[in-house]
Amino acid sequence: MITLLTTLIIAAPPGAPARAISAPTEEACHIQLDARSGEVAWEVITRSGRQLRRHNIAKNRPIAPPKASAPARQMGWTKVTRKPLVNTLTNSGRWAVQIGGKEPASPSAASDIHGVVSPDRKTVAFVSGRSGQGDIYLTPSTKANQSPRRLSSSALPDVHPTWSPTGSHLAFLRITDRGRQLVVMSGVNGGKLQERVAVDERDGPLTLSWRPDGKQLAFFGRDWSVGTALYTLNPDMGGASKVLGDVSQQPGGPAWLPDGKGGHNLLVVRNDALVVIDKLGEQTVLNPGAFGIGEVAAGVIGRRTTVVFTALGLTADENADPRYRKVYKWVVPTP
Amino acid sequence: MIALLVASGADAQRTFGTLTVVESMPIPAGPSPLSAANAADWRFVEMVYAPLFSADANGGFMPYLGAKATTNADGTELTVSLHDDAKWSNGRSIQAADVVYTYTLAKAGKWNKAWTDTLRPVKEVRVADNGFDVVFTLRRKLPKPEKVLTVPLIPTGLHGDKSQYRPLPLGVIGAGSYKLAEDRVNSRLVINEHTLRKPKISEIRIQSVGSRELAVDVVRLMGDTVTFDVAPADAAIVGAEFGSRVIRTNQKRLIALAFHPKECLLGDATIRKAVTHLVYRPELFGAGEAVKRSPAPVSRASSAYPRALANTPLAPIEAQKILWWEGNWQREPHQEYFVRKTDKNATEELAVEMLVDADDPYAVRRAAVLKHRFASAGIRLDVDARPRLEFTSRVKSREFPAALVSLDIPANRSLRPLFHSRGRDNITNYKNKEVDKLLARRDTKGAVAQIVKDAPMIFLGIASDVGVAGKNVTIPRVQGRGGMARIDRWQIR
Repeated sequence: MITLLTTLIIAAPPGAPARAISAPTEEACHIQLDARSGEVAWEVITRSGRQLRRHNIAKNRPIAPPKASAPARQMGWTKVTRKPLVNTLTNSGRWAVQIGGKEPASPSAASDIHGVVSPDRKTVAFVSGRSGQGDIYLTPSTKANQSPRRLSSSALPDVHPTWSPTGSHLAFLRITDRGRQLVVMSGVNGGKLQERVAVDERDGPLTLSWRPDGKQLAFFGRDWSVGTALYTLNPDMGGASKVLGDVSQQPGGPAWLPDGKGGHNLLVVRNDALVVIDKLGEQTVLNPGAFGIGEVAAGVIGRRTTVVFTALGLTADENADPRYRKVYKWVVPTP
Repeated sequence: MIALLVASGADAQRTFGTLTVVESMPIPAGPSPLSAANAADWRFVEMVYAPLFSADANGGFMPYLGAKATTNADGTELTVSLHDDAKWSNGRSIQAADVVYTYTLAKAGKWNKAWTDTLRPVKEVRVADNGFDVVFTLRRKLPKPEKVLTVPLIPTGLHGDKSQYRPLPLGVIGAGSYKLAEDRVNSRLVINEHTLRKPKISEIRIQSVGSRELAVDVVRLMGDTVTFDVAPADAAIVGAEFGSRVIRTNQKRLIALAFHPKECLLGDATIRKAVTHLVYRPELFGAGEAVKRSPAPVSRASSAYPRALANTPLAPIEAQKILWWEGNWQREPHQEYFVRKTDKNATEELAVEMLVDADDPYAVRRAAVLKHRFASAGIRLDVDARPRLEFTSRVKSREFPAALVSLDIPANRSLRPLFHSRGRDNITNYKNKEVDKLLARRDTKGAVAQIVKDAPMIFLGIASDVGVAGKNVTIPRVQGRGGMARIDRWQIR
C-alpha cells in the first residue's frame, strides 16, 4: 500500500454564504445529488420513520414529497419512467424497492434494500434476502414484477451495490466473518461476469463512490491509528492507496468535486471543514462558514460548481438550532 | 403416525436455525468473563460461559452450574455444591478447584474490574473439606448471598499466568450454551453438547459490519438477525420501521464530559463555573436520540435529581464575565480566545483538548456543538476523535485531559462503581470520603448532592440502550450486560 503524504494546505477564499434548503426543525442525513437533473434528495428522521425530501437546485425550489407516509430511505433517479426509485417499508412489514409505487422485481417474503439505478437508468441493482444470505440482483427499471437476475451468489451477505459511471462494473461490500471486503464485479452490462476482491478486511471498507470518469474508486476505510481514512483504488489494477487519515465517513461514499478542467478532485469532511484533495495529493480547505458538518456532495449544476452539505448551523447565525442537522447549498468560490 | 412425524418435523424446523448477531464493533478476540471490555465482548461471554447461579427475571437467582447453596447460622459462610452433570465444553467435569481459580482471578481484577463490586463481600474462596463443594467466606451476612455466585466460570489454567492476556492458552473453553465451532474462529458458535441449558437456536454467527447504519440495514434485510447497535437517532423510529422487534435493554449509560482534575483547565472551579453557562443540554442530543438530559448522574425519575439545576440557560456573555472578572483571563478585541500570563511571563491560551469516540456519530455531533459554544465564549475546544478501541482504552486507563464519555450504570442504579474512590469505573479518580460513606449507606440522594457540588464531571444525560431484532427472532427477555444472558430461551420462528 502506498501512502501519499500531503503537506501543502491552501485555504480557499470565502465565497457567497451557504444557504439552507431544508426545514430548520428536521434532522437530515444521507444526501444524494443528481447533477443531471439538478436535484438533491436526503432522508429526514421523523417519529414515523425515515422520510425522503427533494429539492431542485437548478430551479431553486423544493419538490413536494409523495403523499404516502411509509418510512422510506435512499432514492435514485430513473429516466424512462420519470419516477424516482425509493427504498420503502410496505404494509406487509417488509422493505421493498419501488418505482412509482410498484416493485420492478417480483416480491418475495424477504426484504429488498439498497436499490440503485444504473447510469443509463434502465436497470436496478438491489440487495435481497430472498436467497437467505443477502445477494445482489438486477432487474429492469421500466417494468414491474419481473423475475430478477441474481448477480452474486456468495454465502456471505453482499450489500451496498454501486454502479460504475459506464454501467459495466458494480462495486459492493461483502460482510465476512472477519469484517468487510470491497468486491468489484465486471461484465455486468454484457460479457463475462467476473468478480474480484479489490480490498480485503485489513482496510475495512465502509462506503464507496466512483470517480465520474469511472477510472478510480474512492472509499472510506478503517485505519486503526486514526479512525476512518480515505483510500483510492484503480478498479482494474487493485492496490488501494491511503490518501488522507482522520476523515469523517458518510453513507454516500467520498464526494467528487469537478475541477473546472474536465477532471475531478476528492471532497471530504475533516475536522469540521471541507477538504479538497487534487490528483497530486495537495489539499485545499474550503470554509463554508458552518459547524458540525456531517456529509457533503458536489456537482456542476447550471454551470456553477455547487456543494451540498449537512451541518448543525452556520457559525455566523447566532439563532441556529443545533438540535437538527440541516442541508445547505453553497456555490464554491474558485480557489 | 405420519401426522405425528410431520408435526415433529415442523416443530424442529420452527425451533432451530442460525441466528446472526451483527456487531458494529470488531468481533471479540476470545474474551473471558475476566477480560471482557465492551458490550460485544459481554455478548460473547454470555453465550459461551456460565456461572454457578444466574439471575432470574424477578430479581432472584437460580442454579446453573451449582446445584444448591447453603449458608451457615450467622450467614458468613456460603457452601455451594456443583451440579453432578456440570462439564466444560471439552467434556471435562467442572471441579471445585476451577471455581476457586475463577474467583481468585476475578477478585484480583487483573484484566477487568467487572467483578470488584460483586465480590467485595467475599473474604476467601476455598475447596470444602469433602473435596467437592466450594466454601465462600463472607465478610458479613448478605441479604442475597447468591449474587456472589454469578461470576461465569473459567477452567483452571484458561488464563495461564496472570501476566498473560490474549490469546487464552487453552483456547475458548466455557460451560455455557454455546462453544466455538472451530478452534480460534470466534465468529461461529454451535450448541455445547455438555451444557445444562440447551438452547433452541442451533447456531450463532457473529458478523462485524463496521457501522451502526449497516448493522441496522442487515437486520432490515434478514429475518433471523439481531443487533444491539441501533443508532440512537433511530431509537424513536425503530418502532415504525421494525414494529415489535425493538429490543430495549435495562442498561443505562451516563453521558458526561469527564476531565482530569489537574491536567485539564476544566479542573479550575472558575472555568467550570463559566462552562456551566455554555452547556445547554437540550441542543446536545439529536432528534429521537434515546437520552434523557440531566445535570446529575441520575435520571429525572430519581428522587435524587437536582431539580434546581434542571434548566440552566445558555449565556456566553455570562461565561465571558466570569472568566474576565473571577478568573484573571484576558481577551483583546483581536484575540479569538482568552489568554493569561503564566508565572514565567509566557502567555497561556484558554484551551481544552477533548477526547471523543470517533465511532459514535452522536458523540462527534455533541463535540461539534460544544466546540461552537465554547468558541463563542472565547474558549478553544480541540476535539480529538479516536477509534473506539483506542478511546475506550484511554478512558479506562485515565489517559485523557477531557473526554466525552458514555459510562455504564449498573442495573441496580448504584453509583458506587462510578464515584466511590475505589469504584471500578471511577475514571476521573474522584475521591471524597463523605461520598464513600454515603454510597456505603446507600444514601443516593445525599451522594448525588455532594457529587453535583464537587462536579468531578459535567453531567449531560442518561442514555438507554436500544436494539432491533429481525422478524423471525423471538426474544422472551433481554438480560445481562451484553443482553444475551438468557440466549437459551430465544427462538427462531
